[in-house]
This record gives sequence, structure tokens and C-alpha cells, in this order.
Amino acid sequence: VTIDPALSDRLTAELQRRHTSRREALARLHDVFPDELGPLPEDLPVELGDLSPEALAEFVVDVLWPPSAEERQARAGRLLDAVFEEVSAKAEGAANAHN
Amino acid sequence: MPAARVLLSGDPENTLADVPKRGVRGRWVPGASPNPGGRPAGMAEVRGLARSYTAIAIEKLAHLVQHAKSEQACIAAASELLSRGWGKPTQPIAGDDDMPAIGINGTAVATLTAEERAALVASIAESLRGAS
Repeated sequence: VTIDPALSDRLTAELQRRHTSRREALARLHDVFPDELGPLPEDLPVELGDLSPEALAEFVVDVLWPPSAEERQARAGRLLDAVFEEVSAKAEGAANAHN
Repeated sequence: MPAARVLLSGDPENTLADVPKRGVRGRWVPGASPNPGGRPAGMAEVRGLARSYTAIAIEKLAHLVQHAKSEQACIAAASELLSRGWGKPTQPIAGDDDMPAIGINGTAVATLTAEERAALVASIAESLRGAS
């Protein structure tokens, strides 16, 4: 599969913009909580080749057909639920291990 | 001898001058506080980050800040969310002055239904998997 150069440029620019935005937000959070969060993660995707086929496919569709506000909110809700469940389970596991 | 800490004007940290005064029965004297600096700045930072995102995030994070058993779990959740790319929404292409609107046969495609979107993602992912 070859991506059209113009489309590739547009996708790369958007990925770079998101990467910069996430790095800045994460850096602020890690500055405030250096003991809790440790060093900044280095594995944030910055090139199209860093994305899995599924993530790249979703990214392409999102850039070409931006999701509606309702869809973005629904996704945010699903992601929040998944992250909070995962983090809570980890915290519970750590507390049980400690006890 | 440890270096003396320089307190700047407006620094919220406790100082000797801020040590609250208690009455004879141990109650705080009016106007005194055991924590003159207020709540730690950390949670305010988490809330500030949430404001960059959607209303639902603000609601959920606000709920978590108020009810979570562990502040650390809330901090970890915020960090995870940022790491997973829950970034600001993509700018609509039709509103980009430097780029033409995406179209098929000259007709701009404004929206996709959820089913169309899922089918398109699956189709592209399948093509990418086949190519790798």
C-alpha cells in the first residue's frame, strides 16, 4: 500500500502536531508529580510507521472525516472508563500486595 | 548547616509566621489556619489539564478528584489518558484555509455514519496488514 505523498504529508503534520501537544501536556504533569510518574515516556508515536495498522487506519479516517462532537465525547467516555478501570485495578493490586 | 530556604512573596508554603495559634482548649483562633497555603497545587494542575479536553473529561475527573480513594490513582489516570493520545480533536479539513476540502467526484464528504466509519477503518487496516 502506497500513501499518496500529499496525504502522507498531511497525516504526518497532524501526527506531529498531536505528538507535540501530548508531550507538552505530559511534561507539565510530570513536572508537578515527578515522584509519582517518574521519567517522561519515550514511546509516543511520532511517525506514521510507529502506528499499528488499526491505529493508522483509524487515524487516516479521523483526519479525512473528522468525527462529530458526539462521537468524540463517546470515545472519550469509553477511553476514560477503560483507563480508570485499569488504573484502579493496578492500585488495588498494589495495595493487596502491600498488605 | 543547611541552606536557608528563600520564601518569595506570595509563596503558599507554611512559615513560622504562619503557624496557627490555638486557643486554650486547642481550638484554632479565628483567622488562623493549619494549612494557610491551601490545598496542594497538584490537583489543580490535573483539573487544568482536563479543561483542555472535553466536557465529559472535566465531569469525570472532577468526580474522581472528589471521590477517588487515592490521589495517586487520579494522577496516574490523567497521565495514561495523555499517553494514549486523547488529544484535542482534529481541525475540520473544510475549515482549513490552506487545504482544499476532501471530496469524491467533486462532492465534499462531510460526515460518515458510525457503521460507515467502522467499515472504512476495517477495510484500510486490512489493506495495511496485507501490505506489511
